[in-house]
Amino acid sequence: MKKRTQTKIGGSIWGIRGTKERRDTLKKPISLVDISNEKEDIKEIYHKMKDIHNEILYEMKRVIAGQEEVIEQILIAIFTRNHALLEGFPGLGKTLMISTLSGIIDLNFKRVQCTPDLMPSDITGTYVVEERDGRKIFKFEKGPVFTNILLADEINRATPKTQSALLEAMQERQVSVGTSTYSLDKPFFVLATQNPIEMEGTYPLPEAQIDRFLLKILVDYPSMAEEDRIVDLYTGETVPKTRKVIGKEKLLAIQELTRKIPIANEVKEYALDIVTKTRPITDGTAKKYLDYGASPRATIGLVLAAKARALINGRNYVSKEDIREMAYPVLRHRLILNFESERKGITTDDVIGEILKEV
Amino acid sequence: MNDPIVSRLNEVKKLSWKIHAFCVILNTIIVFLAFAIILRFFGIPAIIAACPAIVYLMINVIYRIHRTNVIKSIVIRYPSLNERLQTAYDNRNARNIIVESLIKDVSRRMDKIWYSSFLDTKEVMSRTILTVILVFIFLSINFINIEDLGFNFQGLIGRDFLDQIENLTGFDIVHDNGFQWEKEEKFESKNRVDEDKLGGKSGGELPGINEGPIPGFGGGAGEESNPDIYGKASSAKIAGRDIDMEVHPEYGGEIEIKDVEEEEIRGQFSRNLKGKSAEIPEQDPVWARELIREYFQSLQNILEEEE
Repeated sequence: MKKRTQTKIGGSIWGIRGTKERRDTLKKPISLVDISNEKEDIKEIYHKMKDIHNEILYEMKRVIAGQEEVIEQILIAIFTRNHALLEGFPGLGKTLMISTLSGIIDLNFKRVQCTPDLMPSDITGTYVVEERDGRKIFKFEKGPVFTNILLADEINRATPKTQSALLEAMQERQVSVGTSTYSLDKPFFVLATQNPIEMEGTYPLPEAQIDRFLLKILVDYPSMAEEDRIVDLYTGETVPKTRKVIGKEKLLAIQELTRKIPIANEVKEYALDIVTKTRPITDGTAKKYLDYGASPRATIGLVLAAKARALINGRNYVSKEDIREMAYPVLRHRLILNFESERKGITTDDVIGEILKEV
Repeated sequence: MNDPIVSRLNEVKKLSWKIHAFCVILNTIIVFLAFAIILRFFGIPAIIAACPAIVYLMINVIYRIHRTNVIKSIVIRYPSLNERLQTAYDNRNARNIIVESLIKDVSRRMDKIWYSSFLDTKEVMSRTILTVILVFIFLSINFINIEDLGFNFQGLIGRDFLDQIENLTGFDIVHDNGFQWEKEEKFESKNRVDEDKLGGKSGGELPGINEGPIPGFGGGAGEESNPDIYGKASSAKIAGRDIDMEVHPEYGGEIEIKDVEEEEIRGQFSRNLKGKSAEIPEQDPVWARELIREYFQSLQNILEEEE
């Protein structure tokens, strides 16, 4: 390889010599931003972030074969303090994945199996009569929503009334029962699953509620090799077990750190452009295939998800690739196809792909 | 605040300006030469080519001022800095551990930027060669009579257009019959032939009034002749003043009078030595009138004394 002998920045070329002042400026140690007030645990977490992510993945792989992308997207939802909706065929390990993750992060985990007769109070909790000192008093009995990770299995089987009980919990992170309001534990996530094939007796989630999920994660069939490993894992004598990698405090620090990831204006504009193009206002893909586009909440979610993706990939900046990769899970449940698209069998992922080509 | 990213970007910006200025100057020269060559074929003065060159220069400078993006020029050459540098620059005022690490990272990478990467050597080399070629062509067509080579595009341009250029610029443009300097040259050479025949200034084939020692061999008073044949210039005193007189027979009786104490005066003896000062044409220089008057009076006195 040809060796370069020219001068680097700070040197000189063709007699273009830096002044003494300029050379002195360059010799000065890099004056960095004042971060003395930064919490020590955040600094520590930042330096160990890559190791933490690798350890979480390692532990997950002891139980789950493959599905790296799904695991990554679930982690992104958790790191951004948001909720995720997992859609996939039965038996793909959705519930196992979430329960395993809650064990690795050392969070309280509760599961609700949604059915048409599930009542809102079955989720939020209810007042029960309790006898104390000979007097009967009403005491609030907390429901399964008072946890860190709530797995709402087959959420589309619950009635709209029950589904809406989750709305306040997901958005406000609080529950109102009667005249009292109860705050939920921190951190709090709803990881819901839904079955795409059994539509009999289901209640599709309303747009307002589905918008509250940051990501819609598609769980696909494992590959042959992955399935082979699944068979080995679950047909042997021992059941695989995991260990705790991080606790609540560290998770909260990671969540704080995620929001600190810087993003370039150009990358931000790229995200804005993508979301704007999903709105069928002007001529283009959106007008051709969509009835409704994504809301500003989608833009916020897209940037946040891209930040979390950058963090878990060990980068200290958001790239356009992060935005592109996160566009699918962030936007796919927020776009409403028109009749023509549905007739042709076009999916929201196809539309997102087209929009990404345009931007 | 001494922002390391901004200071490094400013450094690159200055360098980029210098390189760009060099390229623009080179391009301006090329534009000037190209136009000058084209205009030369149409008989329009080459100096007019400065107009498009100046316009080009100004457009480039304005474009450079408004469209320069140092970050983009860096990331084109160093793709690894692409989003890092842009992010670090956009978030340079943020205060957190991640921005700190990003700025550190970008600063370290920017230290590895080479000045030479901003210079497109191939482009500069090709433009330099083009400049040399154009200079050669330009000089060549100024020494070669392009009309003789069959290039005359003056007919392609309307006379009115050329007149307008003349009026606008004040430069003389020669129409139809070639260029001004070519006309002058032809005039001189035509005269030279006449002179040659008469054994004039440049000497000639035919012996004439200026014939040399051997008739028929081009003697004469030309530049090629031997000046010694006329002897030394004689001097005379008239009215107590030294008059330097040189006799040039080839001028047919013209004499050259030099006042050794004053400035050189050229004059002609009149056959009528009794001529009066009033007969001296009015267009003679004013400063010489007095001297000429004195001279003729002196001559008149001498002649009267002799009579």
